[in-house]
Amino acid sequence: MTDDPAVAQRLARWVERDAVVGLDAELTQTRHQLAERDAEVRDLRARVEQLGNRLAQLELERNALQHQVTATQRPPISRRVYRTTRTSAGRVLRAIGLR
Amino acid sequence: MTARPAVSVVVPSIGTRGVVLGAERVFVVDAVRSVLATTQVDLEIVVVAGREMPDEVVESLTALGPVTCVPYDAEFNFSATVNLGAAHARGEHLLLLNDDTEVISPGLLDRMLDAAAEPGVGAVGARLLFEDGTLQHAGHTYRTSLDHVGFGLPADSAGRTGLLRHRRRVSGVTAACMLTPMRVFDLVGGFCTEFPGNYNDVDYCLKVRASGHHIVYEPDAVLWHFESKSRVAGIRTDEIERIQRRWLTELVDDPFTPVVV
Repeated sequence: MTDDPAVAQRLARWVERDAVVGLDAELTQTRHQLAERDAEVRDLRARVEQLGNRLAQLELERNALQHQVTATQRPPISRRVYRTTRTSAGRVLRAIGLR
Repeated sequence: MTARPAVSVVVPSIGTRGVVLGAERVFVVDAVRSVLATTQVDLEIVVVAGREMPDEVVESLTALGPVTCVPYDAEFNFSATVNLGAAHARGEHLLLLNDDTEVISPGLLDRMLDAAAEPGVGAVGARLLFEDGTLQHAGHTYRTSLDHVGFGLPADSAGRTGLLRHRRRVSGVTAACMLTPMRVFDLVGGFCTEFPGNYNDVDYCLKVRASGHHIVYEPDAVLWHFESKSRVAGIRTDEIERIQRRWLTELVDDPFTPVVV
């Protein structure tokens, strides 16, 4: 492009300088992005831990509720004893021919 | 070797002809003539002449006065032409000027030099008007997009807050008319040739700011810019990627945006 050594020298110096400035700028951007990702990872880890705790808490609550539901569905002990006794008595009476 | 001029005006051109303000002209000749007619500042003019430039345009230019035509015989690359012109320049300051401009305000260079003399100033931009009398440029604004402040407002608009009438620090300025000290141009390595058509001025201004200097808009330096409003910029994907790779944080966190005009 030019035969003038002074001009060629100036152009070469600017190309070199621009490359240095450009790389420095890109490095700054990369560092910035890295810091952003680090912060995001920290946030997500904290949320995962929080969610883990909440999950355990929910499971405990769920089990208690399940137990409560099952317990509510079963007849009281006296009723169960009466039924068992009546069934057994009926079986004996049938066996000895009184029924 | 004569004394070092205060300003070297660098004008890349291919000697395009066109009709503006009702008359046919060779843009670069009228641009250079308007600079010479409106200043007493000691200057030299370096026209970087693309291979398409007709010989008669070169002759017209050199007849105007302190004009040197430097041939540029490669594919179009605006940054490369600016650097080539600057490499031939001897001035303490560079005035980068598009060939499709015409100086309106008398003393344009004095005003821009005055702004450049403020401490820490690394580049000074001007107020550019379209042929239809609307504002093209009153500084850059970044963040979500790279735009011109005041684009499309009436030429004499001060903006709601008077902002367009004040010399002020801005995100950047267009290279269509930009004054920059040669030592700053040298410090940051001139224009990046990896931006052949777009964002080279944005990149330059961000390099200047990264070097600790300010960019200033000078409202009393006024020029016509005969660029079509509807010009298709032809922005290349690699230019967008490169400007973001270099300056995304600076663009997104631009301290001068939003600009209320």
